[in-house]
Amino acid sequence: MTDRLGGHALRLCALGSALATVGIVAVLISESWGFFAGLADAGPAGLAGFLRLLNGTLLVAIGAGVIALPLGLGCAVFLSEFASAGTQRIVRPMLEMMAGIPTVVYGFFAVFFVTPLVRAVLPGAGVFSAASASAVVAIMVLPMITSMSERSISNVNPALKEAALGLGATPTEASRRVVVPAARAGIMSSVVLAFGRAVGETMIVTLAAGTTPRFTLNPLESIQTLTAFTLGAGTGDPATGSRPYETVFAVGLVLCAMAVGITAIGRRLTSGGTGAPLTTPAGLHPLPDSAGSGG
Amino acid sequence: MTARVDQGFPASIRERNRSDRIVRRACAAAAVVALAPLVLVAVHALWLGAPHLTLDFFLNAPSSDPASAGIRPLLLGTVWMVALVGLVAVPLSVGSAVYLDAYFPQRRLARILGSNIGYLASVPSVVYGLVGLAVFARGAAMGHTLLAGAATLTLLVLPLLTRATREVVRAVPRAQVEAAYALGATPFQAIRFAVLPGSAGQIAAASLRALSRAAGETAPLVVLGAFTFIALNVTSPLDPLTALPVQVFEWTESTDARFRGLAGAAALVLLAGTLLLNAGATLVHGSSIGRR
Repeated sequence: MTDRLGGHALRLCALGSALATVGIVAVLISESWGFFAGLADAGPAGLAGFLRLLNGTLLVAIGAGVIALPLGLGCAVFLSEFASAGTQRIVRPMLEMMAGIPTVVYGFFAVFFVTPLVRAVLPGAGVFSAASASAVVAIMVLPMITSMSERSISNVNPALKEAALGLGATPTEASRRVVVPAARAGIMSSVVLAFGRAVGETMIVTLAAGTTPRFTLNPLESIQTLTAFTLGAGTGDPATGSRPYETVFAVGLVLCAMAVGITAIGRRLTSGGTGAPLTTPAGLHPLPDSAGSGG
Repeated sequence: MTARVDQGFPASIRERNRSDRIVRRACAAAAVVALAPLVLVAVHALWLGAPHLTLDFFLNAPSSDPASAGIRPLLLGTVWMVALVGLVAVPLSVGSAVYLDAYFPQRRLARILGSNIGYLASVPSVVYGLVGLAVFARGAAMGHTLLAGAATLTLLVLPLLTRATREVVRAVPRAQVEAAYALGATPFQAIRFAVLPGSAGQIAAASLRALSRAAGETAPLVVLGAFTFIALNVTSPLDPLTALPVQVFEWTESTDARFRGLAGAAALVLLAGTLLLNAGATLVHGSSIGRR
Protein backbone atom coordinates (compact mmCIF):
# COMPACT_ATOMS: atom_id res chain seq x y z
CA MET A 1 0.00 0.00 0.00
CA THR A 2 2.66 2.50 1.05
CA ASP A 3 4.58 1.20 -1.88
CA ARG A 4 1.96 2.01 -4.44
CA LEU A 5 1.34 5.43 -2.90
CA GLY A 6 5.07 6.12 -2.86
CA GLY A 7 5.39 5.13 -6.49
CA HIS A 8 2.56 7.43 -7.50
CA ALA A 9 4.04 10.31 -5.49
CA LEU A 10 7.41 9.85 -7.15
CA ARG A 11 5.85 9.67 -10.61
CA LEU A 12 3.98 12.90 -9.89
CA CYS A 13 7.25 14.62 -8.97
CA ALA A 14 8.89 13.54 -12.21
CA LEU A 15 5.89 14.42 -14.35
CA GLY A 16 5.86 17.83 -12.66
CA SER A 17 9.10 18.70 -14.38
CA ALA A 18 7.77 17.60 -17.75
CA LEU A 19 4.71 19.74 -17.10
CA ALA A 20 6.96 22.69 -16.23
CA THR A 21 8.74 22.51 -19.58
CA VAL A 22 5.51 22.37 -21.55
CA GLY A 23 4.06 25.09 -19.32
CA ILE A 24 6.97 27.49 -19.76
CA VAL A 25 6.92 27.20 -23.53
CA ALA A 26 3.12 27.44 -23.64
CA VAL A 27 3.05 30.56 -21.46
CA LEU A 28 5.76 32.31 -23.47
CA ILE A 29 4.04 31.53 -26.76
CA SER A 30 0.53 32.42 -25.66
CA GLU A 31 1.56 35.70 -24.02
CA SER A 32 3.67 36.82 -26.97
CA TRP A 33 1.27 35.64 -29.68
CA GLY A 34 -0.09 39.13 -30.19
CA PHE A 35 3.38 40.51 -30.81
CA PHE A 36 4.14 38.09 -33.62
CA ALA A 37 0.67 38.52 -35.05
CA GLY A 38 1.19 42.28 -35.09
CA LEU A 39 4.69 42.05 -36.50
CA ALA A 40 3.33 42.10 -40.06
CA ASP A 41 1.74 45.50 -39.41
CA ALA A 42 4.73 46.97 -37.57
CA GLY A 43 7.01 45.98 -40.45
CA PRO A 44 10.79 46.28 -40.28
CA ALA A 45 10.67 48.81 -37.42
CA GLY A 46 9.72 46.15 -34.89
CA LEU A 47 12.40 43.85 -36.20
CA ALA A 48 15.08 46.56 -36.06
CA GLY A 49 14.42 47.05 -32.36
CA PHE A 50 14.89 43.35 -31.79
CA LEU A 51 18.10 43.25 -33.85
CA ARG A 52 19.58 46.08 -31.77
CA LEU A 53 19.04 44.01 -28.63
CA LEU A 54 20.53 40.95 -30.32
CA ASN A 55 23.55 43.03 -31.30
CA GLY A 56 24.05 44.04 -27.65
CA THR A 57 23.68 40.48 -26.39
CA LEU A 58 26.15 39.04 -28.90
CA LEU A 59 28.67 41.87 -28.35
CA VAL A 60 28.77 41.22 -24.59
CA ALA A 61 28.66 37.42 -24.82
CA ILE A 62 31.36 37.12 -27.49
CA GLY A 63 33.55 39.61 -25.60
CA ALA A 64 33.11 37.55 -22.43
CA GLY A 65 34.02 34.37 -24.31
CA VAL A 66 37.17 35.93 -25.76
CA ILE A 67 38.32 36.95 -22.28
CA ALA A 68 37.24 33.80 -20.45
CA LEU A 69 38.46 31.10 -22.86
CA PRO A 70 42.26 31.59 -22.50
CA LEU A 71 42.02 32.20 -18.74
CA GLY A 72 39.69 29.27 -18.12
CA LEU A 73 41.67 26.89 -20.29
CA GLY A 74 44.97 28.00 -18.70
CA CYS A 75 43.49 27.53 -15.25
CA ALA A 76 42.10 24.10 -16.20
CA VAL A 77 45.44 22.91 -17.61
CA PHE A 78 47.22 24.25 -14.54
CA LEU A 79 44.81 22.41 -12.21
CA SER A 80 44.79 19.07 -13.99
CA GLU A 81 48.40 18.91 -15.23
CA PHE A 82 50.73 21.01 -13.08
CA ALA A 83 49.14 21.84 -9.73
CA SER A 84 50.13 19.86 -6.64
CA ALA A 85 47.41 18.13 -4.64
CA GLY A 86 47.72 20.85 -2.00
CA THR A 87 47.18 23.63 -4.52
CA GLN A 88 44.19 21.81 -5.96
CA ARG A 89 42.64 21.59 -2.51
CA ILE A 90 42.82 25.40 -2.27
CA VAL A 91 41.85 26.28 -5.85
CA ARG A 92 38.80 24.00 -6.24
CA PRO A 93 36.83 25.42 -3.29
CA MET A 94 37.74 28.93 -4.45
CA LEU A 95 36.26 28.20 -7.87
CA GLU A 96 33.20 26.76 -6.18
CA MET A 97 32.82 29.93 -4.11
CA MET A 98 33.12 32.06 -7.25
CA ALA A 99 30.35 30.05 -8.88
CA GLY A 100 28.15 30.80 -5.85
CA ILE A 101 28.44 34.60 -5.90
CA PRO A 102 25.07 36.18 -6.77
CA THR A 103 25.19 37.94 -10.14
CA VAL A 104 23.83 41.17 -8.65
CA VAL A 105 26.94 41.31 -6.44
CA TYR A 106 29.04 40.90 -9.58
CA GLY A 107 26.96 43.73 -11.05
CA PHE A 108 27.78 45.95 -8.07
CA PHE A 109 31.45 45.04 -8.54
CA ALA A 110 31.19 45.90 -12.24
CA VAL A 111 29.70 49.35 -11.66
CA PHE A 112 31.99 50.55 -8.87
CA PHE A 113 35.24 48.70 -9.59
CA VAL A 114 35.55 47.39 -13.16
CA THR A 115 33.91 50.33 -14.97
CA PRO A 116 36.20 52.96 -13.36
CA LEU A 117 39.14 50.68 -14.17
CA VAL A 118 38.03 50.27 -17.80
CA ARG A 119 37.55 54.03 -18.11
CA ALA A 120 41.01 54.70 -16.68
CA VAL A 121 42.65 52.32 -19.15
CA LEU A 122 40.45 53.13 -22.16
CA PRO A 123 39.54 56.83 -21.95
CA GLY A 124 36.90 56.46 -24.67
CA ALA A 125 34.68 54.22 -22.50
CA GLY A 126 31.43 55.62 -21.17
CA VAL A 127 29.76 55.25 -17.76
CA PHE A 128 28.04 52.22 -19.25
CA SER A 129 30.07 50.05 -21.61
CA ALA A 130 29.79 46.63 -23.18
CA ALA A 131 33.49 46.11 -22.36
CA SER A 132 32.93 46.39 -18.62
CA ALA A 133 29.97 44.01 -18.85
CA SER A 134 32.01 41.52 -20.93
CA ALA A 135 34.85 41.54 -18.41
CA VAL A 136 32.58 40.78 -15.46
CA VAL A 137 30.46 38.22 -17.33
CA ALA A 138 33.79 36.55 -18.19
CA ILE A 139 34.58 36.39 -14.47
CA MET A 140 31.16 34.87 -13.84
CA VAL A 141 31.55 32.08 -16.44
CA LEU A 142 35.19 31.31 -15.60
CA PRO A 143 34.46 28.72 -12.89
CA MET A 144 32.17 26.89 -15.31
CA ILE A 145 34.70 26.79 -18.18
CA THR A 146 37.47 25.82 -15.79
CA SER A 147 35.66 23.01 -14.03
CA MET A 148 34.21 21.47 -17.20
CA SER A 149 37.49 21.75 -19.14
CA GLU A 150 39.44 20.35 -16.22
CA ARG A 151 37.04 17.45 -16.04
CA SER A 152 37.51 16.55 -19.69
CA ILE A 153 41.30 17.00 -19.49
CA SER A 154 41.47 14.71 -16.44
CA ASN A 155 39.36 12.16 -18.29
CA VAL A 156 41.91 11.76 -21.08
CA ASN A 157 43.45 8.31 -20.95
CA PRO A 158 46.76 8.71 -19.04
CA ALA A 159 48.38 6.20 -21.43
CA LEU A 160 48.29 8.89 -24.13
CA LYS A 161 50.32 11.27 -22.01
CA GLU A 162 52.71 8.54 -20.90
CA ALA A 163 53.27 7.57 -24.51
CA ALA A 164 54.14 11.17 -25.39
CA LEU A 165 56.52 11.39 -22.43
CA GLY A 166 58.03 8.07 -23.44
CA LEU A 167 58.70 9.46 -26.92
CA GLY A 168 60.70 12.25 -25.32
CA ALA A 169 58.16 15.06 -25.05
CA THR A 170 58.59 17.48 -22.15
CA PRO A 171 55.62 17.58 -19.72
CA THR A 172 54.10 20.72 -21.20
CA GLU A 173 54.67 19.46 -24.74
CA ALA A 174 52.71 16.36 -23.80
CA SER A 175 49.93 18.52 -22.31
CA ARG A 176 49.79 20.97 -25.16
CA ARG A 177 50.11 18.57 -28.08
CA VAL A 178 48.51 15.39 -26.79
CA VAL A 179 46.31 15.83 -23.72
CA VAL A 180 44.58 19.13 -24.50
CA PRO A 181 43.84 18.20 -28.14
CA ALA A 182 42.37 14.91 -26.92
CA ALA A 183 40.07 16.85 -24.59
CA ARG A 184 39.13 19.29 -27.34
CA ALA A 185 35.47 18.30 -27.54
CA GLY A 186 34.88 18.78 -23.83
CA ILE A 187 36.68 22.12 -23.82
CA MET A 188 34.68 23.38 -26.81
CA SER A 189 31.50 22.21 -25.14
CA SER A 190 32.35 24.12 -21.93
CA VAL A 191 32.91 27.30 -23.95
CA VAL A 192 29.64 26.89 -25.85
CA LEU A 193 27.68 26.31 -22.62
CA ALA A 194 29.42 29.29 -21.00
CA PHE A 195 28.42 31.37 -24.01
CA GLY A 196 24.82 30.29 -23.41
CA ARG A 197 25.06 31.45 -19.83
CA ALA A 198 26.51 34.78 -20.93
CA VAL A 199 23.57 35.25 -23.32
CA GLY A 200 21.12 34.72 -20.45
CA GLU A 201 22.98 36.82 -17.88
CA THR A 202 20.86 39.77 -16.79
CA MET A 203 21.98 41.73 -13.74
CA ILE A 204 25.63 42.28 -14.72
CA VAL A 205 24.79 43.46 -18.23
CA THR A 206 21.94 45.72 -17.09
CA LEU A 207 24.08 47.42 -14.45
CA ALA A 208 27.34 47.62 -16.43
CA ALA A 209 26.26 47.99 -20.07
CA GLY A 210 23.18 50.12 -19.54
CA THR A 211 19.90 50.26 -21.41
CA THR A 212 20.67 52.02 -24.70
CA PRO A 213 19.74 49.72 -27.61
CA ARG A 214 21.95 50.39 -30.64
CA PHE A 215 23.73 48.84 -33.59
CA THR A 216 27.42 48.91 -32.75
CA LEU A 217 30.57 46.83 -32.67
CA ASN A 218 32.29 49.29 -30.34
CA PRO A 219 32.60 47.71 -26.87
CA LEU A 220 33.20 51.12 -25.27
CA GLU A 221 29.59 52.20 -25.89
CA SER A 222 26.50 51.55 -23.85
CA ILE A 223 24.19 48.90 -25.33
CA GLN A 224 21.07 47.02 -24.28
CA THR A 225 20.80 43.24 -24.28
CA LEU A 226 17.75 41.02 -24.74
CA THR A 227 17.85 40.18 -21.03
CA ALA A 228 18.15 43.83 -19.93
CA PHE A 229 15.10 44.63 -22.05
CA THR A 230 13.17 41.78 -20.47
CA LEU A 231 14.06 43.03 -17.00
CA GLY A 232 12.22 46.25 -17.82
CA ALA A 233 8.95 44.29 -17.69
CA GLY A 234 8.96 44.57 -13.91
CA THR A 235 9.62 48.27 -13.67
CA GLY A 236 6.93 49.25 -16.15
CA ASP A 237 4.29 46.82 -14.82
CA PRO A 238 2.57 46.60 -18.24
CA ALA A 239 -1.04 45.41 -18.38
CA THR A 240 -1.62 41.82 -19.51
CA GLY A 241 -2.18 41.70 -23.28
CA SER A 242 -0.85 45.20 -23.90
CA ARG A 243 1.72 45.79 -26.62
CA PRO A 244 4.73 46.28 -24.23
CA TYR A 245 3.69 43.16 -22.31
CA GLU A 246 3.55 41.03 -25.47
CA THR A 247 6.87 42.45 -26.70
CA VAL A 248 8.64 41.48 -23.48
CA PHE A 249 7.29 37.93 -23.73
CA ALA A 250 8.36 37.72 -27.36
CA VAL A 251 11.92 38.65 -26.33
CA GLY A 252 11.68 36.10 -23.50
CA LEU A 253 10.65 33.42 -25.98
CA VAL A 254 13.65 34.26 -28.19
CA LEU A 255 15.98 34.11 -25.16
CA CYS A 256 14.55 30.75 -24.19
CA ALA A 257 15.01 29.40 -27.73
CA MET A 258 18.60 30.70 -27.87
CA ALA A 259 19.49 29.14 -24.51
CA VAL A 260 18.04 25.76 -25.47
CA GLY A 261 19.68 25.87 -28.92
CA ILE A 262 23.11 26.73 -27.52
CA THR A 263 22.79 24.01 -24.87
CA ALA A 264 21.87 21.50 -27.56
CA ILE A 265 24.99 22.43 -29.55
CA GLY A 266 27.15 22.21 -26.43
CA ARG A 267 25.83 18.74 -25.66
CA ARG A 268 26.21 17.49 -29.20
CA LEU A 269 29.88 18.51 -29.14
CA THR A 270 30.62 16.10 -26.32
CA SER A 271 28.47 13.21 -27.48
CA GLY A 272 29.81 13.16 -31.05
CA GLY A 273 33.34 14.43 -30.43
CA THR A 274 36.58 12.51 -30.23
CA GLY A 275 37.37 13.63 -26.69
CA ALA A 276 36.55 11.78 -23.52
CA PRO A 277 32.93 11.96 -22.42
CA LEU A 278 32.12 14.41 -19.67
CA THR A 279 30.37 11.92 -17.44
CA THR A 280 32.32 11.25 -14.29
CA PRO A 281 31.29 9.67 -11.01
CA ALA A 282 28.78 12.02 -9.46
CA GLY A 283 29.61 14.24 -6.56
CA LEU A 284 33.29 14.68 -7.41
CA HIS A 285 32.61 17.90 -9.25
CA PRO A 286 29.85 19.76 -7.48
CA LEU A 287 30.23 22.86 -9.68
CA PRO A 288 27.19 23.56 -11.83
CA ASP A 289 28.02 23.01 -15.49
CA SER A 290 25.33 24.50 -17.63
CA ALA A 291 23.46 25.78 -14.60
CA GLY A 292 20.80 28.21 -15.73
CA SER A 293 21.92 31.69 -16.53
CA GLY A 294 22.01 34.01 -13.64
CA GLY A 295 20.21 37.14 -12.71
CA MET B 1 52.99 12.28 -39.56
CA THR B 2 56.56 12.14 -38.25
CA ALA B 3 57.51 15.04 -40.49
CA ARG B 4 54.74 17.16 -39.02
CA VAL B 5 55.71 16.36 -35.46
CA ASP B 6 59.41 16.99 -36.12
CA GLN B 7 58.63 20.39 -37.54
CA GLY B 8 56.69 21.41 -34.46
CA PHE B 9 59.46 20.90 -31.92
CA PRO B 10 62.39 23.28 -31.39
CA ALA B 11 65.76 21.65 -32.10
CA SER B 12 67.58 22.02 -28.81
CA ILE B 13 66.45 20.47 -25.54
CA ARG B 14 67.44 23.65 -23.73
CA GLU B 15 65.04 25.67 -25.80
CA ARG B 16 62.33 23.08 -25.21
CA ASN B 17 62.89 23.16 -21.46
CA ARG B 18 62.65 26.91 -21.54
CA SER B 19 59.34 26.87 -23.37
CA ASP B 20 58.25 24.20 -20.90
CA ARG B 21 58.82 26.65 -18.04
CA ILE B 22 57.07 29.47 -19.92
CA VAL B 23 53.94 27.39 -20.53
CA ARG B 24 53.85 26.29 -16.90
CA ARG B 25 54.13 29.86 -15.70
CA ALA B 26 51.51 31.08 -18.17
CA CYS B 27 49.05 28.47 -16.90
CA ALA B 28 49.78 29.33 -13.27
CA ALA B 29 49.35 33.02 -14.11
CA ALA B 30 46.00 32.27 -15.77
CA ALA B 31 44.91 30.49 -12.60
CA VAL B 32 45.94 33.47 -10.44
CA VAL B 33 44.15 35.94 -12.73
CA ALA B 34 41.06 33.71 -12.82
CA LEU B 35 40.87 33.47 -9.01
CA ALA B 36 41.80 37.07 -8.21
CA PRO B 37 38.22 38.37 -8.78
CA LEU B 38 36.96 36.28 -5.85
CA VAL B 39 39.23 38.21 -3.47
CA LEU B 40 38.62 41.51 -5.28
CA VAL B 41 34.82 41.20 -5.13
CA ALA B 42 34.89 40.47 -1.40
CA VAL B 43 37.46 43.13 -0.49
CA HIS B 44 35.74 45.75 -2.66
CA ALA B 45 32.34 45.12 -1.06
CA LEU B 46 33.96 45.23 2.40
CA TRP B 47 35.76 48.46 1.55
CA LEU B 48 32.61 50.27 0.45
CA GLY B 49 30.08 48.57 2.69
CA ALA B 50 31.75 47.87 6.03
CA PRO B 51 31.35 51.44 7.40
CA HIS B 52 27.58 51.12 6.92
CA LEU B 53 27.20 47.78 8.67
CA THR B 54 25.67 49.08 11.88
CA LEU B 55 22.99 47.49 14.01
CA ASP B 56 20.54 50.11 12.70
CA PHE B 57 21.26 48.94 9.16
CA PHE B 58 19.83 45.53 10.04
CA LEU B 59 16.89 46.92 12.05
CA ASN B 60 15.69 49.80 9.86
CA ALA B 61 13.54 49.69 6.74
CA PRO B 62 14.75 51.02 3.39
CA SER B 63 14.10 54.70 2.94
CA SER B 64 14.84 57.54 0.56
CA ASP B 65 17.08 58.98 3.27
CA PRO B 66 20.41 57.11 3.09
CA ALA B 67 21.29 58.00 6.68
CA SER B 68 18.44 55.97 8.18
CA ALA B 69 17.97 53.31 5.47
CA GLY B 70 18.22 49.65 6.46
CA ILE B 71 17.44 46.18 5.22
CA ARG B 72 15.16 44.53 7.79
CA PRO B 73 12.10 43.83 5.55
CA LEU B 74 14.37 42.86 2.64
CA LEU B 75 16.19 40.34 4.77
CA LEU B 76 12.91 38.94 6.10
CA GLY B 77 11.51 38.71 2.56
CA THR B 78 14.54 36.76 1.37
CA VAL B 79 14.46 34.44 4.39
CA TRP B 80 10.73 33.73 3.86
CA MET B 81 11.22 32.91 0.20
CA VAL B 82 14.29 30.74 0.77
CA ALA B 83 12.41 28.80 3.45
CA LEU B 84 9.40 28.25 1.18
CA VAL B 85 11.61 27.20 -1.73
CA GLY B 86 13.37 24.72 0.56
CA LEU B 87 10.07 23.25 1.77
CA VAL B 88 8.73 22.66 -1.75
CA ALA B 89 11.73 22.26 -4.03
CA VAL B 90 13.75 19.78 -1.96
CA PRO B 91 11.10 17.03 -1.64
CA LEU B 92 9.98 17.51 -5.27
CA SER B 93 13.53 17.28 -6.62
CA VAL B 94 14.47 14.29 -4.51
CA GLY B 95 11.22 12.65 -5.54
CA SER B 96 11.76 13.07 -9.24
CA ALA B 97 15.46 12.18 -9.02
CA VAL B 98 14.63 8.97 -7.19
CA TYR B 99 11.87 8.18 -9.65
CA LEU B 100 14.10 8.76 -12.66
CA ASP B 101 17.20 6.95 -11.44
CA ALA B 102 16.38 4.49 -8.70
CA TYR B 103 12.79 3.50 -9.29
CA PHE B 104 12.76 2.78 -13.02
CA PRO B 105 16.28 3.63 -14.13
CA GLN B 106 16.04 2.10 -17.60
CA ARG B 107 12.75 3.60 -18.69
CA ARG B 108 12.60 5.69 -21.83
CA LEU B 109 10.42 8.20 -20.01
CA ALA B 110 13.27 8.73 -17.56
CA ARG B 111 15.66 9.48 -20.40
CA ILE B 112 13.33 11.98 -22.04
CA LEU B 113 12.50 13.69 -18.75
CA GLY B 114 16.18 13.80 -17.87
CA SER B 115 17.16 15.64 -21.01
CA ASN B 116 14.17 17.90 -20.46
CA ILE B 117 15.50 18.87 -17.04
CA GLY B 118 18.88 19.71 -18.56
CA TYR B 119 17.29 22.14 -20.99
CA LEU B 120 15.10 23.67 -18.27
CA ALA B 121 18.25 24.35 -16.26
CA SER B 122 19.68 26.34 -19.16
CA VAL B 123 16.72 28.72 -19.48
CA PRO B 124 17.79 32.23 -18.35
CA SER B 125 16.46 33.16 -14.92
CA VAL B 126 14.87 36.34 -16.23
CA VAL B 127 12.58 34.16 -18.39
CA TYR B 128 11.41 32.36 -15.24
CA GLY B 129 10.45 35.81 -13.99
CA LEU B 130 8.19 36.28 -17.04
CA VAL B 131 6.59 32.90 -16.49
CA GLY B 132 6.08 33.71 -12.82
CA LEU B 133 4.50 37.04 -13.75
CA ALA B 134 2.03 35.44 -16.16
CA VAL B 135 1.26 32.28 -14.16
CA PHE B 136 1.65 33.05 -10.46
CA ALA B 137 1.30 36.83 -10.08
CA ARG B 138 -1.52 37.26 -12.61
CA GLY B 139 -2.86 33.83 -13.59
CA ALA B 140 -3.13 32.51 -10.04
CA ALA B 141 -3.84 36.02 -8.72
CA MET B 142 -1.06 35.87 -6.14
CA GLY B 143 -0.14 39.45 -7.06
CA HIS B 144 3.19 40.96 -6.09
CA THR B 145 3.60 38.82 -2.98
CA LEU B 146 6.41 36.81 -1.41
CA LEU B 147 4.39 33.71 -2.27
CA ALA B 148 4.53 34.52 -6.00
CA GLY B 149 8.26 35.16 -5.62
CA ALA B 150 8.81 31.87 -3.81
CA ALA B 151 6.78 29.96 -6.42
CA THR B 152 8.85 31.48 -9.23
CA LEU B 153 12.13 30.73 -7.47
CA THR B 154 10.96 27.16 -6.85
CA LEU B 155 10.30 26.72 -10.56
CA LEU B 156 13.79 28.07 -11.26
CA VAL B 157 15.62 25.94 -8.70
CA LEU B 158 13.78 22.66 -9.41
CA PRO B 159 15.67 21.62 -12.57
CA LEU B 160 19.04 22.56 -11.05
CA LEU B 161 18.38 20.63 -7.87
CA THR B 162 16.82 17.66 -9.66
CA ARG B 163 19.86 17.37 -11.90
CA ALA B 164 22.27 17.56 -8.98
CA THR B 165 20.23 15.04 -6.96
CA ARG B 166 20.06 12.68 -9.94
CA GLU B 167 23.85 12.59 -10.11
CA VAL B 168 23.98 11.67 -6.43
CA VAL B 169 21.31 8.97 -6.73
CA ARG B 170 22.95 7.55 -9.85
CA ALA B 171 26.25 7.17 -7.96
CA VAL B 172 24.64 4.70 -5.52
CA PRO B 173 25.94 1.27 -6.60
CA ARG B 174 23.24 -0.64 -8.46
CA ALA B 175 24.25 -3.79 -6.59
CA GLN B 176 23.26 -2.18 -3.31
CA VAL B 177 19.71 -1.66 -4.59
CA GLU B 178 19.57 -5.17 -6.05
CA ALA B 179 20.74 -6.56 -2.71
CA ALA B 180 17.82 -4.83 -1.00
CA TYR B 181 15.43 -6.41 -3.53
CA ALA B 182 17.05 -9.79 -2.93
CA LEU B 183 16.31 -9.42 0.76
CA GLY B 184 12.65 -8.96 -0.14
CA ALA B 185 12.40 -5.18 -0.06
CA THR B 186 9.66 -3.47 -2.05
CA PRO B 187 10.83 -0.75 -4.48
CA PHE B 188 9.87 1.92 -1.99
CA GLN B 189 11.73 0.18 0.82
CA ALA B 190 14.78 -0.24 -1.41
CA ILE B 191 14.80 3.51 -1.99
CA ARG B 192 14.13 4.32 1.62
CA PHE B 193 16.79 1.98 3.07
CA ALA B 194 19.31 1.34 0.28
CA VAL B 195 19.42 4.55 -1.75
CA LEU B 196 18.61 7.50 0.48
CA PRO B 197 20.72 6.84 3.62
CA GLY B 198 24.00 6.80 1.71
CA SER B 199 23.23 9.84 -0.41
CA ALA B 200 21.53 12.00 2.24
CA GLY B 201 24.64 14.09 2.90
CA GLN B 202 25.19 14.90 -0.73
CA ILE B 203 21.51 15.62 -1.30
CA ALA B 204 21.60 18.03 1.65
CA ALA B 205 24.67 19.70 0.14
CA ALA B 206 22.99 20.07 -3.25
CA SER B 207 19.90 21.49 -1.53
CA LEU B 208 21.93 24.08 0.36
CA ARG B 209 23.60 25.15 -2.89
CA ALA B 210 20.21 25.47 -4.56
CA LEU B 211 18.92 27.58 -1.66
CA SER B 212 21.99 29.79 -1.94
CA ARG B 213 21.12 30.25 -5.58
CA ALA B 214 17.52 31.13 -4.71
CA ALA B 215 18.69 33.66 -2.11
CA GLY B 216 20.86 35.49 -4.65
CA GLU B 217 18.48 35.49 -7.63
CA THR B 218 17.52 39.00 -8.65
CA ALA B 219 16.24 39.19 -12.22
CA PRO B 220 13.06 37.07 -11.79
CA LEU B 221 12.04 39.10 -8.73
CA VAL B 222 12.59 42.40 -10.54
CA VAL B 223 10.40 41.13 -13.40
CA LEU B 224 7.74 40.10 -10.86
CA GLY B 225 7.70 43.71 -9.68
CA ALA B 226 9.45 43.48 -6.31
CA PHE B 227 9.07 46.51 -4.02
CA THR B 228 12.07 48.45 -2.81
CA PHE B 229 12.80 51.83 -1.23
CA ILE B 230 9.68 51.61 0.94
CA ALA B 231 9.05 50.52 4.50
CA LEU B 232 7.15 47.24 4.53
CA ASN B 233 6.00 45.02 7.30
CA VAL B 234 6.93 41.44 6.45
CA THR B 235 5.20 38.88 8.61
CA SER B 236 3.68 36.32 6.21
CA PRO B 237 4.17 34.97 2.68
CA LEU B 238 1.20 37.03 1.52
CA ASP B 239 3.03 40.27 2.28
CA PRO B 240 4.38 42.37 -0.61
CA LEU B 241 7.31 40.94 -2.55
CA THR B 242 10.61 42.39 -1.41
CA ALA B 243 14.09 40.89 -1.29
CA LEU B 244 17.65 41.84 -0.47
CA PRO B 245 19.20 41.24 -3.94
CA VAL B 246 16.61 43.49 -5.59
CA GLN B 247 17.56 46.31 -3.23
CA VAL B 248 21.26 45.75 -4.03
CA PHE B 249 20.28 46.25 -7.67
CA GLU B 250 18.25 49.39 -6.99
CA TRP B 251 20.89 50.98 -4.77
CA THR B 252 23.64 50.17 -7.28
CA GLU B 253 21.57 51.62 -10.10
CA SER B 254 20.73 54.76 -8.13
CA THR B 255 22.31 57.95 -9.45
CA ASP B 256 22.47 59.28 -5.88
CA ALA B 257 26.08 58.58 -4.82
CA ARG B 258 25.06 58.49 -1.14
CA PHE B 259 23.48 55.08 -1.74
CA ARG B 260 26.79 53.56 -2.90
CA GLY B 261 27.88 52.60 0.62
CA LEU B 262 24.46 51.12 1.35
CA ALA B 263 24.68 49.07 -1.86
CA GLY B 264 28.06 47.83 -0.67
CA ALA B 265 26.76 46.91 2.77
CA ALA B 266 23.71 45.11 1.32
CA ALA B 267 25.91 43.32 -1.24
CA LEU B 268 28.18 42.27 1.61
CA VAL B 269 25.29 40.81 3.61
CA LEU B 270 24.00 38.97 0.52
CA LEU B 271 27.49 37.69 -0.29
CA ALA B 272 27.99 36.49 3.29
CA GLY B 273 24.62 34.73 3.31
CA THR B 274 25.08 32.91 0.01
CA LEU B 275 28.69 31.96 0.76
CA LEU B 276 27.64 30.64 4.18
CA LEU B 277 25.01 28.40 2.57
CA ASN B 278 27.63 27.19 0.08
CA ALA B 279 30.17 26.65 2.84
CA GLY B 280 27.53 24.67 4.74
CA ALA B 281 27.10 22.53 1.64
CA THR B 282 30.83 21.87 1.43
CA LEU B 283 30.90 20.99 5.13
CA VAL B 284 27.99 18.54 4.92
CA HIS B 285 29.30 17.04 1.73
CA GLY B 286 32.80 16.67 3.16
CA SER B 287 31.60 14.99 6.34
CA SER B 288 29.37 12.56 4.48
CA ILE B 289 32.34 11.43 2.41
CA GLY B 290 34.46 11.09 5.55
CA ARG B 291 31.93 8.76 7.11
CA ARG B 292 32.00 6.25 4.28
